[in-house]
Amino acid sequence: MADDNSVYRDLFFEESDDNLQTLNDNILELEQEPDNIDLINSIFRVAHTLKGMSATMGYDVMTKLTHKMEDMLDLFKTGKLKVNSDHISLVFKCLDKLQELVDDLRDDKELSEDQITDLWNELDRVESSAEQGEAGGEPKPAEEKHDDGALTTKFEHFDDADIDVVGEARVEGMNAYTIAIRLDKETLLKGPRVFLINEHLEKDGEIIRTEPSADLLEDGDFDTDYRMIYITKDSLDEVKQNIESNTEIDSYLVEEFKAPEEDKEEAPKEETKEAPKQAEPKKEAKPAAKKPAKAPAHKVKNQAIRVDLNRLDRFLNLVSELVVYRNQLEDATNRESIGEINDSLEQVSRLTSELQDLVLKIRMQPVSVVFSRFPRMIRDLANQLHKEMHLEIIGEETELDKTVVSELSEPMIHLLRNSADHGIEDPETRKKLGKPEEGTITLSAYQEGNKVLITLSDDGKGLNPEIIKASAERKGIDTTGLTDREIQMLVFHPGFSTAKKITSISGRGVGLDAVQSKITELGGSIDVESKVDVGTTTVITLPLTLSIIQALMVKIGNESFAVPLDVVERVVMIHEKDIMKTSNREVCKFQEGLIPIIRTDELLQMPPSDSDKKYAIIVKSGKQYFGILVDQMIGQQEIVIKKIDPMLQKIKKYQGATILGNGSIALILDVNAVCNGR
Amino acid sequence: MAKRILIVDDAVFMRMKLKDILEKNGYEVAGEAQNGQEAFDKYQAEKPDLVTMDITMPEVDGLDALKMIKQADPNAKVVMCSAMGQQGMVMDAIKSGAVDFIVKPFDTERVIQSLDKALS
Repeated sequence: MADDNSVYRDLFFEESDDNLQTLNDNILELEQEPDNIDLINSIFRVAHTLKGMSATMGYDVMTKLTHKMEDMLDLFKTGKLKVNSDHISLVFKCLDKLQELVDDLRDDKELSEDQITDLWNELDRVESSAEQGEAGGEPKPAEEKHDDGALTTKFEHFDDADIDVVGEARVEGMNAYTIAIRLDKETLLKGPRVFLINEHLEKDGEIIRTEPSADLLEDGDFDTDYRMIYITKDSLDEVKQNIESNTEIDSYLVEEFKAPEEDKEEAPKEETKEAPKQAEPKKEAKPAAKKPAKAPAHKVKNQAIRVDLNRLDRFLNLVSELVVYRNQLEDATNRESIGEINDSLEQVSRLTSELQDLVLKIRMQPVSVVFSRFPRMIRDLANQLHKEMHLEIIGEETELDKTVVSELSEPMIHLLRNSADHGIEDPETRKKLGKPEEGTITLSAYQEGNKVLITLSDDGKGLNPEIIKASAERKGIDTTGLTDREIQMLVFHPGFSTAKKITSISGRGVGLDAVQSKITELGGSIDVESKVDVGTTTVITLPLTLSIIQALMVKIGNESFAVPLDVVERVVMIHEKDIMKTSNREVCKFQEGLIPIIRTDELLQMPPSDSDKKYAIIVKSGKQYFGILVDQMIGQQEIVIKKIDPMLQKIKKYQGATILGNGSIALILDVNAVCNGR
Repeated sequence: MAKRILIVDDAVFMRMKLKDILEKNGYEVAGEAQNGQEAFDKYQAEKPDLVTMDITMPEVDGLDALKMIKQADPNAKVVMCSAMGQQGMVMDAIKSGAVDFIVKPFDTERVIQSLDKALS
């Protein structure tokens, strides 16, 4: 059908997915703000793009439907059709159908007209009824555009003393100027740069005030702009020449000094006091021809290009290797101390670090990529379940490694569905309990150090330990001696379900354990806190990036091992006599309590070492501390995680392996697995 | 006539790199020195139009060399070459009369801009 276009197919699908997602988001927003004309315009634009794309590809059925949908959107735009819940639902139906069509096309299925007939008729009905009248709403005047970003000599405040000084100087025949300087964006060492510029100026005059203050300027603690009051015998041109003798200045302004009173008078006229200048961004306000500038469309997108993930992976691998060799080099020069290389090596290592940082950042994606689908999902679920609820999303700009983000969708959907189905009660029950009839599900993400925390909380009925316990016992799970919290965590136990009724929405209890294992696979952990009739909060902790981590290098016996640094709380020295025995495990004192000791040599089946002095690495797994015994500390190091051959992945005690500076291999302990003896 | 530059840096690589940049942009390299003392001696012998001076060098460092040169010739034009994180040293160099500074890793355009301005 469209052979010539086959090269563009992939791109088409990717962009269609994006466009459909944008439409979903915007339509959802439109339901909240039906009068937002900017939003309607932007929806219209995206729909139009979609139509153009499908037409270019020769996908007629899809083009037809988009066209029809566009007609309806046009009615929104002209105000002939009211934006109400029914109409919104219809647009959603279109979007779903379009997604279905795109998916079919992706699977190389031929589309047929039948697929869209029903929807077509429905759209037709709505449109023809709308055509019959109803006056249009008036588009709202757009807000005025705010002009920032231009360099200005306006000080945030003046001192009377400054004005006095200027006055005196003028009496003596000196000139006073206000100068604003903008450094190049890429300027390195801003402090010294400003110092040099000011030094040049002070050769011929005196700087009586700067903004930001001299201290901040000297520390380079400002963005790119700074201002000063400068007193000199020099003429305006000479001052300009002086400034231009410097490098790394993006632009500057020099103006005769004006006391703030004069300034205020002129203020309403706005920036007409333009100095005759050549090299700075000019902003000429024309009061006569002042048109209400249209505010740019409501979402400003970052510029981005698409990169094949495989290439990015390869890039990352190369950088990872570079890190390894850099470590080797550093290792070698530390031993041999060859001065010649040191300087270059310093640069190399700085560059490698930056490069590494950059490639990791390139791989980062905001969680909104996944989260953006959820408001729509919750809306649909609420309708389906006849409950009232809304989803609040906080921190959707939080970024995670692309791999993690794309794997996150499934478990998150699962948890959200659970909250909607089992968590939030129906309106009557909620009323009886004195809760608002509309339930709230809050999804938030934020970064904390090297981790990203995603919390999902609902104000629903919570996890009742009694019910869970009963259910667990029925299934033959031993619950003796478990605290309420531990019982609540049982929901992640394989093959467990508290739902008495199996619904289509949240499965049959083969799920939460899948969620947990997915999260663990991603190197994260999951935790639940719940109170009956108050709600449930699930916290997912995920590593920020996957492949390069800070690790503590240790020796057990003669072998080197790496322990991920983010789980290490501290390291203490320990003697055999400090280790006590309780009924079934060995413990030692830590802070105020006793914590379990893990003998790595036994666990990893290595010959026991006879040294009495050992180190206990105190780690936190879940909410519990453990002390992992090791023989020797090597130090902290950045390591690259390499996957272990799949054949060996059944050994659960390791997260992976890494290559050390000297070329040998060290295994990376999976602290969670080691501590929980899984 | 091409302006003559004395390149001072203890790393061969850096000197090569800088030499390459300068020669491609119409400057003449009057000489190279790999420490502060040598820089001073070569300055006296060659009387170049400008010196690019690395800050960290063994024996006599760039700051001392700058002071020595400025003492012998108050009109000497010296551009300091610094790495990131040497704010303090750069400040001292400016106070001691350096005309400008450039930050490693070198960006051709910046180097040339700096030299052009310093020599204009």
